[in-house]
Amino acid sequence: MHPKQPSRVELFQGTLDLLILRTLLHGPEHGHAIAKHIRRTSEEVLKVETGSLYPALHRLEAKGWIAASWDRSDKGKRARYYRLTPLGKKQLTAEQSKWRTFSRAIGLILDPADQEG
Amino acid sequence: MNAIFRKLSWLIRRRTKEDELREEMQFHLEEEAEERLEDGLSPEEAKRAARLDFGNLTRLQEETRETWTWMLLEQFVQDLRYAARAIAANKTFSVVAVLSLALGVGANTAIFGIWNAVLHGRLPIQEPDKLVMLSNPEESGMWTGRWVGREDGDRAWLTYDEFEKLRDESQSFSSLMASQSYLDEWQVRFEGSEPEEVRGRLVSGGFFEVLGATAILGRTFSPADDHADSPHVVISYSYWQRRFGGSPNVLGKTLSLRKATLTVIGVTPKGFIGETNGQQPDMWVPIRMQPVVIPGEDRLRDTPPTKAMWLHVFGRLKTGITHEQAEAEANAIFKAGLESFYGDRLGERRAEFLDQHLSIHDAARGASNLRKGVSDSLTALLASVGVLVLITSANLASLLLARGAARKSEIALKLSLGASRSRLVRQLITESFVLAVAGTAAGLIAAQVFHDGLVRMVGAWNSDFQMNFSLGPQVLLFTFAVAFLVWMLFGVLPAWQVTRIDPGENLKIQSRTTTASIAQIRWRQSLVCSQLALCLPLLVTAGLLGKTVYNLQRVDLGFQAERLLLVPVDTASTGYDSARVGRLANNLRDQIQLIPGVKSASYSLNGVFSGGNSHLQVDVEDYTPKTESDHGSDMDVVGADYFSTLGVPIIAGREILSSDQAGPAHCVINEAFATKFFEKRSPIGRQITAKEGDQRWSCQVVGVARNARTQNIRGDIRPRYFVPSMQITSTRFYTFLIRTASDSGSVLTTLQQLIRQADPGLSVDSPQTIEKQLAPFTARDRTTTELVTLFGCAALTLAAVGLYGVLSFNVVRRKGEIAIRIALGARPGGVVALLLRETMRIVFIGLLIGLGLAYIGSRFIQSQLFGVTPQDPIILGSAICVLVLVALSAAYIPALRASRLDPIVALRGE
Repeated sequence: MHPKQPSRVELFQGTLDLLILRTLLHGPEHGHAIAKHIRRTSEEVLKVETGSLYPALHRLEAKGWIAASWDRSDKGKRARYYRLTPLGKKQLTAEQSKWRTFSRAIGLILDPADQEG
Repeated sequence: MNAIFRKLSWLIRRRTKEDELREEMQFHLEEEAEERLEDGLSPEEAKRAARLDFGNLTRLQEETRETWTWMLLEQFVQDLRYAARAIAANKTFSVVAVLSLALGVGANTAIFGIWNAVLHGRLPIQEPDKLVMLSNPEESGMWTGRWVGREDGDRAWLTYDEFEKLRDESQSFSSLMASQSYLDEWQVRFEGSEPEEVRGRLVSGGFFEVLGATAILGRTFSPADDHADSPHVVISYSYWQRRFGGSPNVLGKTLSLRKATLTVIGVTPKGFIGETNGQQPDMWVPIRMQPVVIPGEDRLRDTPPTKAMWLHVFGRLKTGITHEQAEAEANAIFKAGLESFYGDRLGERRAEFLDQHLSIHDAARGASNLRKGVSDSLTALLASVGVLVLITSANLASLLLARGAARKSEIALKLSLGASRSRLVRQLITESFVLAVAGTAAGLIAAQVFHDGLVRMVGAWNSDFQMNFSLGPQVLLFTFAVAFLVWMLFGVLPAWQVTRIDPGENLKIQSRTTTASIAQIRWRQSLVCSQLALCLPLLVTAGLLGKTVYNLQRVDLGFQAERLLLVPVDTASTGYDSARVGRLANNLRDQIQLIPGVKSASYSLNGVFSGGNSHLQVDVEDYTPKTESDHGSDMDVVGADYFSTLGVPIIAGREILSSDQAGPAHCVINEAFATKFFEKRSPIGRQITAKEGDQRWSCQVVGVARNARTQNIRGDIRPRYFVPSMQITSTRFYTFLIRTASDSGSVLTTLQQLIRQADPGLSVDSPQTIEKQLAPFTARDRTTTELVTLFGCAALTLAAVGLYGVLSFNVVRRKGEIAIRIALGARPGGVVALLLRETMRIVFIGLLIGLGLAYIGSRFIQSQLFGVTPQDPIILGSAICVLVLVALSAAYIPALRASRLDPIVALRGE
């Protein structure tokens, strides 16, 4: 339904958790904003389906990595804001380093000329 | 840990969480719409786009909710509530389901419990696996004389002397004990109380030690009780509770038992039944007390030439000793004993007499004279009741399938609204799960009731049988396995089948008529087909057993069974010598004949169908035995007029008369004896010589009597000869045979007075009629037949209901087609024939499978049949006819209804 639709990449399992945690590092955010942020930042490549986003948010909350509270949005509406907990920060660091190792390993195998980022 | 608390708190705040989730989703939708608005879409379009982009809202909420708590558990609770509503809404079905499951599971549990306990049950003792037996676990009774009980020379029982030798000399066993192989019925009298009947047995001092039982009150016997007279008795827990209310004062009480006065010294632990499976003795008495408990006999010493074999011997092997080592050593001791017993009196027949040996048997299951006899019947019952529960579940499954078909559009709607199929299946099977659990719980209660009935039934086959109801791990496992299987069949299969629909397709049809898919019809048809198939073996078995009972009850006994009284009289307690016993019996007979209403009277050692028999080795004049063991004959000691009292015709010579006293010994033989030993020669005047050890006793044949059945109703009539009581020494037990003119009531009272007058010490068992004596011989066949017939009828009814249901359903489904046929000119008869033809296909396949099952099944009951072969064409034919007739009548009504269909109404409805 978007006017321009760049080719999208399917998210790896577990990657969404990492992206959510990383997004929340900037400060508390509600679900829609998190999805938007991921989409924008990835230059429209990664689009988070609502069908995955909310179960993921609630799952992370159940694990205690993020916490939720109700607050007013910029436009004054009541929204559920998620923020990173200290446990979530720790988890993010661990996941990030895991991801870097992983993507470096992939990069080493593929031809460096083919890499764009 | 925190995660669990968080989930718990969420579980409590469920409602709020639900609202919050809805609000959160709403907010997301609004944000999204606003964004689209900014992109330049109209408000309506923006909302629609946002909504489309969002996907299935319900499913998303469902999936998000799943992360909150333990979803499976929560859904299960939800399903339970749903199931409760569904069950309440379908009361009739639910009640029928629970009741039939309770009956099915209950009957299966009860029969399996007894089957398992009788056939595989271990003795409730310590380390049953280490217990061994030197006698035959499956036989109980007594044998005197030379051992010819088994062809292979394997001893069934041992004598006390033999046991003592083994106990004292053997090095392989850590302990050995002996027990009376058969359970005795004793009349005992506690001091200051009325006489009462109890069951008990004589046991050696090591009995409780070998079985590893210690008294819970007082003490048990010790090996020392074998060496000194110990007038003691140990009673069982259940007898203690029943008779004394568990009072500790029971210790020291005295009771009299025949010539013995015994003191209670201990009570066995709860559940202790001794060494025999399926029996519950009330008391145990030291074997040393035998001469006063069984007066008139000495069974503690082997006195040449006879041995009294009556004991089971149990022991525990020393560690490191194998069965083979122990058997070799035991046999060496046993053989040495035989050699010294027979000495050199045997001459050329020495080898024959010494050909005996002992075998070591595992005794974890204990002794049981029941195992061999009833295992076939119990297995047949277990199989029948298993079949029945299968048929029942098939019917319930069929009903659930039909209900599923009716709910098809509801299910399609749920599927299209985002319910997953597994979730729907779970919801559907929860209902049947609740029914199955309720049915099983009720079944476990029903099992107890069935158990008592079954114990009474087996008790009629074998009067010693006693067994308490217990739900051991094996029985429970079996019950749950049956319940699970039933649940799979009647609950899970239909649920899986019902949810197999394409929602889009189904909703498009918007089915007003409750049509079912072809697959569903096929399912129900195969269910009915297997029901019919399972019915056939039950019907055939019922027929075969029924024919067997019919044959058994009409066996020609060779004499008139009506108006014949049998009165067993035991002279042992009088302590008379044999000559005096003979005179007593003769006098009694003379007096009985004078009672008004008595036509004639006589007596015999072995009575009629009493269970006793005598077997001897005989030399017959001019007869050369074909093999070494070819000279045995049954024998009976009888009073004067024995044959005329029974009504057995004499076909040559004369019968035993009161004049057969002093002088040359005479005897009468039966036809079987004459045929075997005399062939075509005339037997009258020839000599028969009985041999026992080195003793000889000759008599001359004076008559031949027609064959009569007095011991067994099955099998061949064996050669037998009858000697007059006044010409033989021995015997202390007689059964009086009294032929009465009409009603025996008045005769009985006079008779009892007479016997009491003759000697107050005489012990008289209650008088019996032949019918009563015969009852145990046919009881097993009769009750098995009744039960299998009952199961067969129930199965047939269920199958007929199933068939009716499927056919009615099929007719409704094909209403349109049938209406068109009628509209095009099909005649009602043609429509009926069409539908019946299709039914016949199901019936035919069912019959084919059923015949195969019946063939397999009948092989298991072959040994029980009498006068009928498993392939009896009449019974097979009738079973098939009954099945086809019932099937056709079940199918006829829906077919008829279809043929009367008004095509216009039916087609308009389509």
